[in-house]
Amino acid sequence: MVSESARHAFDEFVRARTPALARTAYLLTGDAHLAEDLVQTALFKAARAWHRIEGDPEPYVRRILYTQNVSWWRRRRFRETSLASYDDAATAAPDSDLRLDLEAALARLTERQRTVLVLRFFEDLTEVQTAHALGIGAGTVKSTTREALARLRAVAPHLEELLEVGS
Amino acid sequence: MSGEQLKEELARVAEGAPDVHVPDDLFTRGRRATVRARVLVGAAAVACLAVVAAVTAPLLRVDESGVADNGDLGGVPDSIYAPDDGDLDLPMTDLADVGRAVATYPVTSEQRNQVVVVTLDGDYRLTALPGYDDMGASDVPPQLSPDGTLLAYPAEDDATSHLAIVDLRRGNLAKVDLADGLGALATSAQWSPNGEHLAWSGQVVTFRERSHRKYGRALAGIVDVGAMKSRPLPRAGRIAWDGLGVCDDGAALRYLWPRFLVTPAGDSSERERSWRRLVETHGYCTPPAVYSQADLTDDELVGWIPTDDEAHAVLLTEGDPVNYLLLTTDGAVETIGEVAPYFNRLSVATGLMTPERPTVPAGPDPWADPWIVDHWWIPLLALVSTGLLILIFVQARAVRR
Repeated sequence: MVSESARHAFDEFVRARTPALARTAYLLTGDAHLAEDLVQTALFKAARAWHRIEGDPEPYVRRILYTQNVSWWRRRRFRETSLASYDDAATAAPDSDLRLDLEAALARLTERQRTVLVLRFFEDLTEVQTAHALGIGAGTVKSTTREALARLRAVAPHLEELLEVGS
Repeated sequence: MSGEQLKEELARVAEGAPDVHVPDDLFTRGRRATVRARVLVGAAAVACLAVVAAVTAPLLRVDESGVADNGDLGGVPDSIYAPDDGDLDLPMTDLADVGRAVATYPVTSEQRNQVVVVTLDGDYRLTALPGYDDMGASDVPPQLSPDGTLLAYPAEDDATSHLAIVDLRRGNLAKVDLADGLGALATSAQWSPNGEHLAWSGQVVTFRERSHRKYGRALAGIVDVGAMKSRPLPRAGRIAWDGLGVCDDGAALRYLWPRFLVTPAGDSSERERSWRRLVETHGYCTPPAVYSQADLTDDELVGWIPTDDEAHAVLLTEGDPVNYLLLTTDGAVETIGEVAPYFNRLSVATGLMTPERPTVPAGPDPWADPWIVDHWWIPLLALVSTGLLILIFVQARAVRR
């Protein structure tokens, strides 16, 4: 049977790290409900494997968070209506009255683009780490990052300075 | 501009993250799920094994080797079968098609003349013996010669009571007259070890009308199988020849503890002999039936395996749920086989038996239920296991989602 200390450690981890996990989940999903589901799912899976986790559990839980989100968007890929394409967004960009802030701009990205962006610039993962976490090639990460930043620039020109990083 | 600014902006966006409610029992639920998963994995493993077993067991099942698998050795099977319900359900085989046998037993049927023959190949064949009446006056079941080629039995035709000897390889039937007139009823019969002579004892038939018979004086004889002639034994009216024995050279044998009394062929004198002296002078002998009862009185004598030192009795004893075939060895008794109950008037080819190898592994029971009937649980297990595997698969998919 699992000891009380393990349960206590898990509860402690949940208490301390859930807000941070929720932030990442929110950035990954762009949706509060999905973010909550993602965090709960990740923590549930962590609880199942708690006895196998050695050392700091956070990398493990975060990895679940990423892979679970990838799993979700792969499953939704063929169902959901895709976001406007990069070209569509570019066409819409000249509307100078439409000043999208970063949050709204992120919502205009594809899920893969948003996820790569979050992992690279919010989670500070390298291209290789991001590729590994998402199960895609490093080259794909690089190109996806470039596309994501370009798209953000297109849908939110006022963020140009902010987004020069990816140029 | 650096990635730091973008990170800061992303962090600002992330401030809008919801307060995630984590259920208090999430850890417990997670642990339960782990236990469930382990159980399911275990069950899946068992299910896989069961499916594999169900698929492969019938394929891997080694066919029980029949007697035929012993090649030239041949032998008496260590299990002699009969149907539990008495329903033989065997097609009739013509006498000419029976073949060499290792065991026979009569069956009670409306025809009252049928016997089951266990062939050297391990097959069970039902055949009818002309003139034989299993429910008749004689208690002697058909006697199989030591090499399993001949079957002798008391028989009647329209004219006489006699001994019939049938060649199981060809179906040839020979009639051996035992007495003049209406003939004689044989009440005991024993083959010599080499199968060249047959000792019999019985009574003359003095009256015969339909099913009614009357019997007269006792008599006994030695049949020369080559000539199919019976030589009457002397002083049959005064000497108790019942269950007499016979040696390879045709000498008749009685037993008077502790010695054997031998009457050589062509001689009316009777001499005392030890077993060793008997063998030296007359070859191997089949002892008188009474010899087997010196130590064991409750068992039925089936035959003898003679050696230089002694004669080993093959006996049949009643048991539950089967009868046992026994062999006397060095004063002890060894179980050498099983015989189906109710069909215990057995005769075996003792020439195919040795003290070292009295029986051989039996072939399959022709009356046994099909293998799948005895192992009904295997397909059931496979079915349940398959269902379980599907359930596990569905469950696993649901968990992954």
